[in-house]
Amino acid sequence: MKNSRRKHRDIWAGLAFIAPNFLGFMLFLLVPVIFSLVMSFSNWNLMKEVSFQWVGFRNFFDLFHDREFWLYSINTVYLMLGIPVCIALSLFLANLLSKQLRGIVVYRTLFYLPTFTAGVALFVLWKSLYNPEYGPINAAIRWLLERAGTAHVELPSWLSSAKNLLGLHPEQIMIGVREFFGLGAREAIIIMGIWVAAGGTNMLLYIAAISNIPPDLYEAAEIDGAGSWAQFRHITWPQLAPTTFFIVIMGFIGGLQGGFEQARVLTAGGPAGTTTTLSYYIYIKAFEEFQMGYASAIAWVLFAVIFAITLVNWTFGSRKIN
Amino acid sequence: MKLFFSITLGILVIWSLIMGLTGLPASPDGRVKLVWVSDDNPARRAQVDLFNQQNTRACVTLDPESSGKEKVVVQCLSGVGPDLLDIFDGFELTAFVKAGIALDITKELEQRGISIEHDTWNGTHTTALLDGRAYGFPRGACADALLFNKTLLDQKGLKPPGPFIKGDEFLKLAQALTIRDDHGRIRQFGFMFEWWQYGDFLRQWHAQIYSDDGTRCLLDSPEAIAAIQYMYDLIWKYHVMPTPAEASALPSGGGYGSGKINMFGNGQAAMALAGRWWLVVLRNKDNFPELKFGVSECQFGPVRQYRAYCAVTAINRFSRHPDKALDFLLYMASPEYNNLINRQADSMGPIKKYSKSGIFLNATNYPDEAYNSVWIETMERGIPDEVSPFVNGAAANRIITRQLDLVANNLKSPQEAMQTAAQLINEEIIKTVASDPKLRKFYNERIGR
Repeated sequence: MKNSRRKHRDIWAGLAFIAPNFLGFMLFLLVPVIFSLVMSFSNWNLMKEVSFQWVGFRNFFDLFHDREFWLYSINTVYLMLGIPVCIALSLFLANLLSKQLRGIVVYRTLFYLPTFTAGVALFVLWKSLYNPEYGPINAAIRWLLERAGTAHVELPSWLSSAKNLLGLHPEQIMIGVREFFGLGAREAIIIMGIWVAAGGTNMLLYIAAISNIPPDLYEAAEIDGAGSWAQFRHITWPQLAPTTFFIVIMGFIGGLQGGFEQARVLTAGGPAGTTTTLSYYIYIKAFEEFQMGYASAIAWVLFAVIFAITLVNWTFGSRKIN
Repeated sequence: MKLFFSITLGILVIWSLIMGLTGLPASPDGRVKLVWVSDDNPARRAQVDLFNQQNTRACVTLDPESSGKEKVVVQCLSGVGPDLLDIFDGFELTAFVKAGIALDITKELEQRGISIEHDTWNGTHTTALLDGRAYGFPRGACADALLFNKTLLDQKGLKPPGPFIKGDEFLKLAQALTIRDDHGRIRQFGFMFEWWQYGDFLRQWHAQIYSDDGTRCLLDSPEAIAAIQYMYDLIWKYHVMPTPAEASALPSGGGYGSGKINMFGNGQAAMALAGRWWLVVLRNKDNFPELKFGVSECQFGPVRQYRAYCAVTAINRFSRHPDKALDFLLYMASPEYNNLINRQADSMGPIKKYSKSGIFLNATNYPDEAYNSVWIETMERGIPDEVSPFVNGAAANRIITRQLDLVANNLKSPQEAMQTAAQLINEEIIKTVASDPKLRKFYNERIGR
């Protein structure tokens, strides 16, 4: 009897402790999420003069005929091209930083620094680095070109250029357009993203995973005469598969949701909309044009895409890993 | 532990209730505190201080952190908005009115004998008035003119332009003032503008963004194309303006528009299309000790008209102290406020008669500024931006900006860009009208259907 009363009291205490967090979750996450789903079927636009109406699937139908939606989807996917490079670099760094070296903690901290530096500060720094005339990046390219005897080649204008490596047209869904070939704002954002993320959480996850690989495997391989590359290929890489799988999924999710801060601070979505991603488009529609219903619809389509990709990844990826 | 948890929770709940019920604490002298979402700068602080010295019922506090239409709208609609907010164009006004945020103050102004239409500059009307009703009071007004660096003109042996010049004379000056280094790179640009100043050029080519009834976008008209072509030519044909890449390569400071102001102040550009508010920064001798400049009215195109613009301060309809917030708007109509604005050069005072007085025209504090009549002339000829009720202004602006980006980068001809802009905005009009039955009726009436 006494035990049961005590158990009851403990349950109440436990509930009380999680209540603030749970209330916060309900109030600021679950309820708004459900609300946005409901609103995606309405014409809600913050303008009280426009009468509220349920519009069924019209927002979703309009979305699929919205050229901007498709262009910004392409931008979003394009900016994700940096993810594989980023993962490879994280793995490379994790490998190096897993060695038993003096001062390894200092190295790890140095590489992790960009992750906990304020985003806006980083963007301002990179804006200076990308200065076409005085920035160190173009200075380095200029130096290299001069050494190669090709100094006449036009240097990239980075953040003010609509050019890109695939020759994507900024207004039409076209690839390989000659005048748009080159390095521009999109590449600038990709490179910056790689620099920030290579030494970030992915690297830490890899370091943790590498430290969990049984050393006997390496010892046995060494006895069998396996070199560094063979050890990496046949031991490290397969052992890291679950971690890589997790990082890839999180990279996809982050990539599809990303690009907002960079667009807001560095380029305002330009030039000519080339750095506007889906998350920035949601912001434009909701908070600049006040089309809350339409913005909600974009958000839910984005969610569906992320969910589908994750599901596919999960189904096929986990089968391979197992 | 449980006791500690319960007490903390209890304190937080009670505290939240008290804060929620009482709002902002009153100032120590018992006056009501009003929050004004506006940018924080020395000029703005002086404007607020003067009000706080004069008014016995309320004192105003600036809240620059909440500026941005999206933040203000969300805060106001959720009941935690400021008492006073700024509106920057006709579309924003429509948005704030339609969202039920901007308070109608027509009657209050009438009772005090103030008429926005008659007393303030023409350029303020589309930002303060909607369907003949007043929803705010302009805190300043502006039309752009040509600023020129006298020292750089002297160095080239050129005579400074008079109070009014035309396009040909301007272009000769701009070309003469564009200087290249030994590598052929431009060291000093003859002229510069911001691409969002396209409205100035449209006015001077007699072009319109929308038809008079607002039902159609006219950016594909020959006049609009010619205006944008001229802007393009200044960069790519005459090479007197930096390309976007060149502009981004030049060092610039922080703050709204301050990059271009610094470029002019530092002598990287010899002339600039600018508003009087630039003077707040340019007058600072610590930043620009050598700078000597003058101002001319410059007619680039065939028509002697300019784009006029302003910021309007409105009262949040959900404010707990609308009567006291009104005191602040009435203060903006006072001679003290207008004279302060004119002295500060934070644009021009909203009430015309104070700017036409001797105090403004013969500014004793700044004897070099013998050109104040130029600002009055441009304001008199200033025309505000047009607004169409049938299209979301932010969407239209985004379309235009995108096309101008392509023109500025030499990726699309002005003609193609303006045709695309007109087509996309007209599509947007049709979409907007189709989604709102009330608006559709209004649209059909206007086109006589």
